[in-house]
Amino acid sequence: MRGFNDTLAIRRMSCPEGCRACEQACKKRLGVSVIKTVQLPEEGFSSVVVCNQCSEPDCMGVCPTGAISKNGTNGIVTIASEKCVGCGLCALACPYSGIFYDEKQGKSFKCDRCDGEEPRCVKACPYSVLSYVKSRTVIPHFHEGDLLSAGTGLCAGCPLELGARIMLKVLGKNVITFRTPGCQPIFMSRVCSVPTLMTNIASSMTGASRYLRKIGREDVLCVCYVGDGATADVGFQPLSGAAARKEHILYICCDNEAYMNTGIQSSSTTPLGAWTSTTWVGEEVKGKMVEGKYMPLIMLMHDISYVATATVAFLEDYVIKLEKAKKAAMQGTAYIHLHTPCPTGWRAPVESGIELSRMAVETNYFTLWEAEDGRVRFTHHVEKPKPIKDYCGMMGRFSHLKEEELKQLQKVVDRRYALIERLASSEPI
Amino acid sequence: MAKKRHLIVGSGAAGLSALRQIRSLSAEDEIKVISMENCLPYSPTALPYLLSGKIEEPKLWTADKDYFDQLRADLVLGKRLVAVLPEKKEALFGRGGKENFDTLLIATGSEPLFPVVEGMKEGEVLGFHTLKDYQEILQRMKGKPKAKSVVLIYGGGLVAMGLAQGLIKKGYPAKVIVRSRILRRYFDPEAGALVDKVFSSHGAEMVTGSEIDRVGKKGKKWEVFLSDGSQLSGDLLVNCLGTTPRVSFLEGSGIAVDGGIVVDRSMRTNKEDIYAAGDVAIAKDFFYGKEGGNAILPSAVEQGKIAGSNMAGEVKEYEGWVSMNVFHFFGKGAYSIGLTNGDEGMEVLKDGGKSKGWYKKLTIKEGRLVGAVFVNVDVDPGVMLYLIKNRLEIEKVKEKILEKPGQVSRWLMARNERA
Repeated sequence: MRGFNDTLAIRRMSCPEGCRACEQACKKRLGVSVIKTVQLPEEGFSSVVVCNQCSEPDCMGVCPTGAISKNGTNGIVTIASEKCVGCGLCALACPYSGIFYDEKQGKSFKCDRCDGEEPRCVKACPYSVLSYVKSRTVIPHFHEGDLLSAGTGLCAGCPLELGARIMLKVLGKNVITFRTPGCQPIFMSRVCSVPTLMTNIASSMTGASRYLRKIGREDVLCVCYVGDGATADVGFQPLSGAAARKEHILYICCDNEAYMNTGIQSSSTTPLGAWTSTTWVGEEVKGKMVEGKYMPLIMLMHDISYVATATVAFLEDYVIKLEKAKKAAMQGTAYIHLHTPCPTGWRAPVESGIELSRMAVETNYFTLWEAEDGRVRFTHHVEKPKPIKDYCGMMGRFSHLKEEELKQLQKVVDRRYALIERLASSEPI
Repeated sequence: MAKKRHLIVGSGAAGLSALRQIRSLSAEDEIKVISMENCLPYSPTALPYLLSGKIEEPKLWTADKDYFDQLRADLVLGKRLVAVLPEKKEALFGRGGKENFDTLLIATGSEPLFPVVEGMKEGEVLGFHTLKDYQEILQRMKGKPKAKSVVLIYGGGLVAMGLAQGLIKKGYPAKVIVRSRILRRYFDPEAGALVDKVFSSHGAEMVTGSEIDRVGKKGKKWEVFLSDGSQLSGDLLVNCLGTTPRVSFLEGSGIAVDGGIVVDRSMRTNKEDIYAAGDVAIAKDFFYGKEGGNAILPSAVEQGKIAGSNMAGEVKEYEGWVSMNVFHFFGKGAYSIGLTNGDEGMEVLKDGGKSKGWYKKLTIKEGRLVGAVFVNVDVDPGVMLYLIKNRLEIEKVKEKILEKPGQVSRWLMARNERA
């Protein structure tokens, strides 16, 4: 895979005002900061500047002692401090503000991408303005064998299959999957699969995971891929109990926001205003009258090892989260809340599944974040969120909503987003 | 395409830049680099730092043998170019050496200007341009008591000031004799005065507005008589009046010389397949397309790259040089970029000065930044150069740039890059 280097990416142009977390983390390691926040609130601009690790670095050519070099393997451009005379010509040659001159030491410094380790600034960035893009995260998983069997019993256009295929590609063969009655396609896979009831899925996983540990097979991962009804309603008590006990399991909830398999009955994650066969639209009632339950934060408050939200529209993000969750589930409980549109139940065109997921993210209806050991961070930030009506307009289940009701739903979205934003900017839970 | 034979005379920044470029474009061509000195390539820019002890001699080399091996180029040392025969495609070297070429790059750099002053003899009065000069200065200062041995520096350019700083940091008192004022080429009187003040506070003595009329020796000491009638004495006299392109070997070659080697936008001379780059070249400037010399390292690298491209057969045009420099002195930085004088038709914005300890100046032409000067201000010079080179419209934000140059320039750059 030559020609692909890992990249420190600046995702969007607005950092929170006054945030200098990256500079501080960088300074802690090097003594000087080689990433700089640029904040001009009056221009609506706040971002960071840092070395791009150019393919043909101008700084390298002008160095009068040849102190600057580019690593041929990982692409990182470094200054050999013992050769640096501090003339400052590199800072003059670099157009992108990637060189930082320290007048005290009389030398130039630049980002060495933490010498190949995960960059400290990325770890410290609470808003995922910075991310560490490993170009090879997704690619290798597509070269491994497909563990999902051919054929599908799902409705046309159902993204559950894609979610499961990617899940098995990342987690590999060494898993026991748990399923419930419902839509999930796990029973068509080539890995060991255990059928349970909707009410006892987490307890079944607990039993299996403990047994595996007892016989010394900690390497086998217990994972479930189940719906929102089993997670947020009827199976909630066992899940909450397992999470409270920090059972070594990976729980993936595919949220299609209703009991789809049995005929589109409302679940507790069904959003405000949505039509289902039990929250009908009539003269008095206009779809669901209360807002949906937000499972990811409930799971976060269980203080478990890993919590994340994911969608089928952002597969690389989903892959990274699966990898982290797999690791975390070896030490404790990991939970992924996967947004899986249901074209059938949502009254949407069959080909719209992935676009629905994308719009859910772009309207901040479904924000992408993760929490490692209670520390919340966004993994994808939407610079200019679209109004919720852009999302609702794609589906029949919201078609009855008037301006006023859309406003109500927008309020729910804004409030939920603000809450997550506050969590992301605060100390670990 | 047939394998070509490229000859590069000079192993400075321009020569090495051309070497890298030719090799990156053609894997097969033969490349030979010839240096007149008997050591590995180094940059004179690093010499003051060698003097002040910031780096050790082994760290000076910009390229070693491995470097040339990796680029599959031959490095020949100690050969001085004496003539070029364009029609025969031959270059002649001292002691009877001869090299054929398909393309030739003349990157012979510059040599010190030596003034005609009574009593000043080259050899006795040192320059500060080569490693040999540095070693000679060390040799002559050896054993002399530090605090009492005065070094007289004639000239007030960057080389002179770099040398003065190096000496002061080593513990030698330095006296700088300047005909007008220091750093005149890059900094206006206000900016220069700020630098002057800091140097004086660190023990350098500035003697401005005087030329040297004649020099003499009294025992081991130098006696210097100035045009204003005053007299100075010192243990060492170093001439740093400036440099001039090293072109004497071109006489009779037919290659056009006008102060330096005149080149077009492809860095080619008036002769087919013969190129020039770096201090030796007279190339077009960025703003007006006027021909002139710009003996600075960044221009040498850029010009070398353009020449290298064209030598290897890939047509590239030089966008023209921008006058610029950075000078870090005693924990402070001074930057001069572009047209900083504020000629006719330009608007000048400034702030600060000697009493404030910092200075900012912007020159603007037709709503675009054409020059900037900063002394002791937190700013990234490369980003300022970016604004100039990209000819960004700044009319609406010019006051803002002056107020917060570091933040605003980075914002403009980032906005332009990510647009």
